[in-house]
Amino acid sequence: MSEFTFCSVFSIDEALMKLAQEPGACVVAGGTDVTLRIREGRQRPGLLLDISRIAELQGIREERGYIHIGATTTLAAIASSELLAAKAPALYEAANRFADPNTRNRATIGGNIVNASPGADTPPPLCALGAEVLLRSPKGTRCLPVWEYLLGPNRTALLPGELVLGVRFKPCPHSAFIKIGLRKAMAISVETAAVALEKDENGVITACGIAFGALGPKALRAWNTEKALLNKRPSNAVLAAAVAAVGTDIQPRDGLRGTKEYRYSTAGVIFERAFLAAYHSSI
Amino acid sequence: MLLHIILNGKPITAEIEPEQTLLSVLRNDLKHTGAKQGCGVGECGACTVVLDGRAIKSCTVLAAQCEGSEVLTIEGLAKNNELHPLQRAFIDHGAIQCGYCTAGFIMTALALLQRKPNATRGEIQAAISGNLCRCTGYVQIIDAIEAYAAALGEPPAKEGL
Repeated sequence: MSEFTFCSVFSIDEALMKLAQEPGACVVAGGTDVTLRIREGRQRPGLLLDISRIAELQGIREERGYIHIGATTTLAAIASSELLAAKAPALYEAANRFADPNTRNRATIGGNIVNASPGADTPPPLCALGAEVLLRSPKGTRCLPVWEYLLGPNRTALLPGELVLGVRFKPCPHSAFIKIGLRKAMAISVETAAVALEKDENGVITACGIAFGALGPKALRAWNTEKALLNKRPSNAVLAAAVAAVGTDIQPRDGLRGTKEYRYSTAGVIFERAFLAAYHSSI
Repeated sequence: MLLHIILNGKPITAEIEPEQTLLSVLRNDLKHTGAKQGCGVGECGACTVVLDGRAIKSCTVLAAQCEGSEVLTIEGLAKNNELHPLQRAFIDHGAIQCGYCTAGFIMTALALLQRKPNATRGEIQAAISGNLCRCTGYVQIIDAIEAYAAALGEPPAKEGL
């Protein structure tokens, strides 16, 4: 007899009720991470709570100045969204570099941020875009910036009994994402950079968000690099200062996919590429 | 627990465990062994089947989540002892060697061409990027899929950037 049980829920309220009854329940959306945890014995037996049938958690919409993406929206839906291609190209590009098309058919954005792998592909663009995670518990809904929600490898600010509803952020057409992977498909990132910015009619940067993936225990917001660019009109000197600041924002480690030295020296390069793509995007 | 799916057009009921993957149910309980277990962790694509019209890696899908779904496997393709034209194309183009990956490639290609019959060569390459073949290389496989797409009769869309 299996030590697991399974239950599909059809509304957010029903999910919260089940989570309150079984605090150790494992929420399942696409299952691409949970099935691996079960296989490798890393998932404590208990309730597998299927949220994939909750209609309210699915889809991408623009409303009152924000783009909302429901937690169980698949990476495939994000990778083929014309809205995101135009208004959040950094996230659109990250979704298109995520695993492979068949994995994207199941994997969800909620799962990617709940799992909180240091090399996850969607947190850096979400951090750069200034995205917030929406968390619901019986007490109500709270919003946390993605970089505060992420605490470290596989650790987040999600409390027991809480459910991730989705993410929201303001449109940012001038955004871009660059990933270094060891191959084109199914590549866990060696490192990633995401840049989102606004500029005025003179080309001066009036707002910017920069984030890196796989260069620390979680997606890192690059505060120093942002400071080096804010209220500046990009020149070679400004860009060189920003690239120098990258080294102070990241905490790369030696790993299977790259050495610390490699990551230090390439982080500036992918930042620069992402910055130029974001700055010069014609949208 | 009981699982109800439409497997290759036929309604099927199976007694499953809550934590079983779709691949495990197909192979061990329903004796449909066309989908292979290669890596078991979603890396190789040998277990690819079509779930509600989309190609997915059945080793990373919980079977219990497939309740009421339509599942298409390689066993569902041949009709009246005639191979499906896409299977035929794989043979004709030498796109099979050991055969372990073949079912996965065919199911991925089928889902792509059902949604996009005029897929370009580039789109075919992108679609199969999560399916690994360690024998033939990929050229024959892409040729086979392209030839089947051409036989479907819709001209390929202009190759984009």
